[in-house]
Amino acid sequence: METDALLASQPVTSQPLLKVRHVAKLFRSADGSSRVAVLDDIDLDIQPGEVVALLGRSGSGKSTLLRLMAGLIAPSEGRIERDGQPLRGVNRDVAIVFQSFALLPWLTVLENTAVGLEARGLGEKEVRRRALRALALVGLEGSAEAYPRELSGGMRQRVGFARAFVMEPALMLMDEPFSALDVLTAENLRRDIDELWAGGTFPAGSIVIVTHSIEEAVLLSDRVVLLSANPGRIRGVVPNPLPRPRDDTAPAFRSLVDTLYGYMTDPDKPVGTSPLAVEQTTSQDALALPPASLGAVVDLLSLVPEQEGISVAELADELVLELDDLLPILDAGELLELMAVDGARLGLTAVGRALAEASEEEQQRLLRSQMLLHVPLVRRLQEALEASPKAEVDGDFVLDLLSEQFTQPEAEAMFETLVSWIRACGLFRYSREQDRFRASDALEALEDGEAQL
Amino acid sequence: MLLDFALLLLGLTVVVGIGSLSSQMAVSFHPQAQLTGVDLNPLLLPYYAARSSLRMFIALAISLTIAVAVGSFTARSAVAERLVLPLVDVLQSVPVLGFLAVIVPFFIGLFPGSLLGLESAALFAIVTGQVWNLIFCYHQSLRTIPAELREASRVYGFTGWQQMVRLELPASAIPMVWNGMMSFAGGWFFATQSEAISVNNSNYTLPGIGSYVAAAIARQRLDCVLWALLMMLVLIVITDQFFWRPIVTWSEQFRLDTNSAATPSQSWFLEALQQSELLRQLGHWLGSGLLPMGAALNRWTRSRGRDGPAPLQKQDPRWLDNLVLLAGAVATVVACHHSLQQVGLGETLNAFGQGLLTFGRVLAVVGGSTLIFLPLAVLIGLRPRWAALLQPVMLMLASIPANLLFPFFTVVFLFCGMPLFYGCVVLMAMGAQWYVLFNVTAGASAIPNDLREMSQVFQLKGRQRWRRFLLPAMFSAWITGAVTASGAAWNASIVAELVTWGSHTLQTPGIGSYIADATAHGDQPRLFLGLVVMALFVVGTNRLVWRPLYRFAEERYGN
Repeated sequence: METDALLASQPVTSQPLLKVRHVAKLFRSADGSSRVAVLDDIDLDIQPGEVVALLGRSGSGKSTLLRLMAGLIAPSEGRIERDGQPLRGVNRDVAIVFQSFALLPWLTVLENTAVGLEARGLGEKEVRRRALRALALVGLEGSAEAYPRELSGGMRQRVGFARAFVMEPALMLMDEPFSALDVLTAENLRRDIDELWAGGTFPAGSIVIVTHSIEEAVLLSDRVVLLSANPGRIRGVVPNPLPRPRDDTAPAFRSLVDTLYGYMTDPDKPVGTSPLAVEQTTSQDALALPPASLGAVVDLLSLVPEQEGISVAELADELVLELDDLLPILDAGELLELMAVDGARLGLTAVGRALAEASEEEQQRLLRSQMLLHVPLVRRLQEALEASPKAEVDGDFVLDLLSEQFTQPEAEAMFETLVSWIRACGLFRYSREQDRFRASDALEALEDGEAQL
Repeated sequence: MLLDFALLLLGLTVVVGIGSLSSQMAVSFHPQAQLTGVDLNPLLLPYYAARSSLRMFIALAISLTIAVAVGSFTARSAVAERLVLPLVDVLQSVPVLGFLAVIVPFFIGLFPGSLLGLESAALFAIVTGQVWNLIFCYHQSLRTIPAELREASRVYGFTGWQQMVRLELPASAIPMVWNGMMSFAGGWFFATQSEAISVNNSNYTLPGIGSYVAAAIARQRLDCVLWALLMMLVLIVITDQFFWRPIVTWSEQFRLDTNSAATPSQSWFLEALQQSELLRQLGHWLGSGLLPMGAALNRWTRSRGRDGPAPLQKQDPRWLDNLVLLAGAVATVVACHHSLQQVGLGETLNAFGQGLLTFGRVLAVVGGSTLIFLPLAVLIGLRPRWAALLQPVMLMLASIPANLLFPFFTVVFLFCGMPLFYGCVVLMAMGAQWYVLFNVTAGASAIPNDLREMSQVFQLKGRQRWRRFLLPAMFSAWITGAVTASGAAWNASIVAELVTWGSHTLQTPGIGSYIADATAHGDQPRLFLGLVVMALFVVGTNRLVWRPLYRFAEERYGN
């Protein structure tokens, strides 16, 4: 329990392991005309002996921040210092546990674990001894000769941990290490990692873990760094003084989880005594579409009790949905003004209530009108269609609009979302072969054409 | 134990054999006495076959080395990727046999008075036949290594040596082995063809199965051609069983997706090797002997920890495009000016006309083999048992160098007085058709079982079955086959539009015979013109026909 006291009281006096100062990371926008910030003005210190969770929704650049700390990519602006020296090239203090495990399928479990030590040029015997010790730590000493493809997902990630442990890194970076595992396996592995850390036998000095799971952040971390999305900025830092080992049913645990849910569902809510006023709704967000299906939004409406609403944490629990999957649906609901999130509670708007009750046809009609009213990208498309004599617009028109503001993958993803939305409610038509949007009243013409075939 | 002994003997034989064969590569050679060297005694055929195979394997090793070197380079540098890959793409389209005519005099000059010059020229021909493909393949497999694996290799401080032997070579092993196998099969054509060529009004001959056939043709000995064909078949079976099968099976451990293979391939020879105690010991000694070398390479290639982070987002500088365009424009102007000066406008137009003729034949080859083989492929492909049985046979047929079959057809043409104008389409098809058959069969057998059952349950019949079900399902596979087939047909045209049988010569207009004729007479300007015209046709069809079709197939019928 001594470690707990030590951790809770934050060793502020010692030199930080890693200093991140005013770091920004920019990527070229899809049309190459401008640069899109994925991370902006990040200031963060990692102290020896602490566990920091980076929590944010997708698009907050949390994985990018992790790779910056590892020296895998270089910041566009600002600097990163390791032991007071500017970081150049790969950070030799760190080991990473990857989301996809990143094991080499042609090496055995033992060889995979040993790979980093070999690179250091240690003797064969010493490498083997240390690798076996690390495997014992994750309970895999019996599978040393197995190949990764013979193991279950949970066991593969244990190899991923062993490979990191064996380096005895000053800083261990984890990139959503449990998100590719099923719920039970993830829970199990999380517990084991937590116990190792609490027991003081953890073979790494500090941990930075990237996650979108609030429970995971509360279970493992000493403080939670909340990131905003588009661009990723630090909204604030929430300390987590709960004693270890942590009980996820304890009231204090639940209340911290609820607080964090509040922050996550409401991007505009200021975090703690955050010095940073979050400037939202810049022109960039105006065209953005959250990656959710319209069907999911409608399905969700029927789950929200009409009068009192529902807590988002409860909803996520009930649907067994990761927050990362749930938040885009809520965003879409809010964008279409069908839902309203207040604090961590989700309620319905008047239109939302009407839509939940309506018939299939009426639902589509309501969705069409909400989209025309509240989704700027759809409105731009509508205007373009009206201006065109043949009521046709090239797909490139939309893609170009998006390409000015977003990176290639983002722009393409939003384009696909748009297509799925207008198809789901029959607002416009889109033909992929011709890459062309058409006004929807041409639908009868299509039917005639089919009949002739 | 008996097995060990057998393997030991086999190994020794191979070592001694290769040694003595390669010592003969450097035998002295006098340009005057060439064709007399080939003895038509069929008992000597194994020796000739061995000489040809040795050449093939050396060429394969050279090709692989080049591919790994160039591929690593292009995968690492955006500029190289931008400049080298299009160049490789164009080089791929230049007819290999045309190259040969240019390069033989050069190599003979390089090793005066020794057969090594001719050997190098032959190796060069085989290498140019397969290396471009392998470069693309290696480049592609490096680029598709999952990002997190790359990152892991950097975070865990892989040395340059480790990057290569732990990550890059294993990750590319499977595609490289398959590609190597296919290229090797295609390489026999160039190997046999390059053993007996006439450049500059003189004939050059290397001992090998190709020159044996050439001699048999010159002396009108159909029986000898038959023997050579048989030898070729035996050779193909042997290399398949003792070389490719074991390697394919062995390489399956390098599968990148962590799920195990659906149908693991098997090789009795590999099993035998793996069970041998002696070999295990040998491997152990070899391994521990090489360990210090690996360690030294590791030390040597260790990054100093100061390396700037390699960019994940590779962006090539924009000036590059302009530079390439400019260089291309200059080259075009110079080439046009030069060719007009050397051969004149009439000759240039004539060459293009000949190109059109051959183009028509290539289309006929692809179209004809599609019409013939599509129903057959469906018949075989939809029956898994037949497919499993016949696919290796098809691969084997595809490996038979078409030029070994030519004499039989030439005799038939001479006998019934069939003009080569049409006959050479058949000749060109001999090498090309198998690619269509093979790929379309693979496409048919890859149709998911659910879809097959659907077509039965809903009783799709006749035209509708083809239009709605079979053709779309096999379209991508057909394109792959058709592209390869048309490439093979272009190459074959050089030897198919001008065939001889003893003193009889059949010739028909076309860019192939144009090149062959220019080669034989040492007419350099016309030779270059012919090569450029053919390359233009090949590149043109690739860009204007195959690539759009390919993209269409991917968008429309891809998943």
